[in-house]
Amino acid sequence: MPLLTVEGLTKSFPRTGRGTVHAVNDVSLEIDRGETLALIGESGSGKSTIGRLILRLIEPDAGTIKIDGTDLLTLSNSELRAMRAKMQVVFQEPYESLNPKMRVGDIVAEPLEIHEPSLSRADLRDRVRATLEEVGLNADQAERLPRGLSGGQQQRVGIARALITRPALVVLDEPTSSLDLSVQAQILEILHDLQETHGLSYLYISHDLSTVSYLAHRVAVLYLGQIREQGPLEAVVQNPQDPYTQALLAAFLDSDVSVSPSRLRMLSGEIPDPTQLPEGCFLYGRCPLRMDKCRSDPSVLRVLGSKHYGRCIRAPLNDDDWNIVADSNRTVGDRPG
Amino acid sequence: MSTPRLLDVRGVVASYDSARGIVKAVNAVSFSADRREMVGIVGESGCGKSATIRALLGLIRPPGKVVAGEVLLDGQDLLKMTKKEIRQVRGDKIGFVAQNPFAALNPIYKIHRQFHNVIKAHEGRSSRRSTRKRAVEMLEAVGIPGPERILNGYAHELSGGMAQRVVIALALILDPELIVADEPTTALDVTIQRQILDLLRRKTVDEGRSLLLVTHDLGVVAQYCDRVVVMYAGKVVETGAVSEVFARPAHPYTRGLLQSVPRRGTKVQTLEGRVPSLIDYPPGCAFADRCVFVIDRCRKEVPELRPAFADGGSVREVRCHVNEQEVCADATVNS
Repeated sequence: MPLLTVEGLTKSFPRTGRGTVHAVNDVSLEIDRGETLALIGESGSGKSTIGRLILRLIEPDAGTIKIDGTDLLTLSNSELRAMRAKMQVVFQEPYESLNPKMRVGDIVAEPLEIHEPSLSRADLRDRVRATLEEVGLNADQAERLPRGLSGGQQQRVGIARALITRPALVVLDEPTSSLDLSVQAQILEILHDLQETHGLSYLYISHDLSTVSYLAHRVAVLYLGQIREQGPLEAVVQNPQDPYTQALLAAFLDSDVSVSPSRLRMLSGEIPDPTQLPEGCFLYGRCPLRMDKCRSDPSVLRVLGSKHYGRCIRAPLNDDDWNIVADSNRTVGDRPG
Repeated sequence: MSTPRLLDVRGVVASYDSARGIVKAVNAVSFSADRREMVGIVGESGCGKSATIRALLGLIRPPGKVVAGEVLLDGQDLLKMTKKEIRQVRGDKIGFVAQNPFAALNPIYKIHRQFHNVIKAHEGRSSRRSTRKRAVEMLEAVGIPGPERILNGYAHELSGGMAQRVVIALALILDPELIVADEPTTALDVTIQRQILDLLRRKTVDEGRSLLLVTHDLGVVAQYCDRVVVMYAGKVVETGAVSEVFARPAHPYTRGLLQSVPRRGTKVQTLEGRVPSLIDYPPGCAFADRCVFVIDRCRKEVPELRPAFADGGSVREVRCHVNEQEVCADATVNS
């Protein structure tokens, strides 16, 4: 049984006088023990909302969320609070997610005081110290306030705070996107090592393909609050079967100068207004591969390969399909000299 | 090169007096840019890349000041100009594209008024009709469909990608020779990023301008820039053609930065430690404490920028005591 099973998750936010934002639309996913599922997509695709729904920081309109077979949505408040020890979160902005007036050691101790109130002071202190050590922080840093730490150290505090209750699932909401490259590498290494040591499951929310390909085992691609494609990392990255995934991956710029950039695959226009979802395939208005029936037929996820699912009715896609798209004026890489 | 370089930055020092001492945010920075060339300035937070840009635009504000150096644009030293003169140069000769387009656009003016203001400030009297015509042409040139409608609207009605196109159009409206872009795509989604970068590249290469692109994104530099300036702790540590620097980094910091890019199936290489304080500047090389190639000399003697791979044919410079052959030898960054 997977650790996390989400089915039919749906959430919309009414905006006074300006319609309803359909943020998450019928999302189903699973995460095994020790596995990382990456949710990738552009801003407004609903990836952070899904993370918050799974943690029940906000309430879904419909759907089920099961951890270890327990349906989170049927839990009473006190039961939910107990369950929270098993599911933790690391946020994007480390400084903003830490109480500026609490010392680092107290920040990390707080979840434990809530979830294991019977713990003695000595045991509490030992657990805090051990957890700080695991993320590469020392006793001296435990005495400081968050602002006395660098961004990378602050994020280590965020990870320690998530880790100390010994969770099974950690939602990582763009944990490195505000950090410098060399610091990002340190944080990714910590996250990777912690997963190996503790068998943690990660829901890794990101828009950055390089960190996703480093951490993720499986990938779900989101567009307008809907999963367009889902599958093992290799399948999705090397053999994407949805025009949106293909456009997203083609936009990635590799820092390796020996890799020539992929041909830019442009979708026309921009992401439509989430208050008015398209009737058929959500990508219809922008898709260069569209056919008439895409306009009316709702697209459904279907099996494309081993654990690989996609919505495009034209899958398996052919590379030549994109040739009907007018090329952008130039492809990158034709530098002078 | 048959024509002189459009931009030549020589030994610029910009410092701030802080309560704890003098901070040299820009420490003897030199680099240049040719016409039809995109030069990337890379480095991590606090390396001085944004301060360098502000220094050459004459935008360093007190208590900060530029205390040495020259910024030659077409042979004219911008640092010797009066405030009024430099204000004229910004816009006329240098177009600026900021990271956040919504901060760069005035939220309470319609877009056409913002074009009108720029043109009026630089060219004096100008009729609404003629500024409007020029704005329409420029918006079309940056790929905005229905420019008339955009001109009559406000910034908040635009998507991020469209707003950044408007900012680029405003930066180009006076036909500047140099475009300075500070993280121009960082706030945008990846599918929009390539369109904006393609646009900037066309406006640079096809129309004979220079572009300085400040970024922390090595992918942007690798795939779009011709040359790169790598900065660390306020100094340039390496320069050269992107294709060479990224394939064979001569400075241990450049090498470490490239290896920090996470890749599937490889253990991510980390640069331990952090950038030293610019106040208690170490006596030798600023990178020594984090460097895997460190030798005794590095802790005593400040390395100067020197030619690297001198036999290579093209101009490369590095600020390091260690032989560059040794640094790049096991730099399997591109495997």
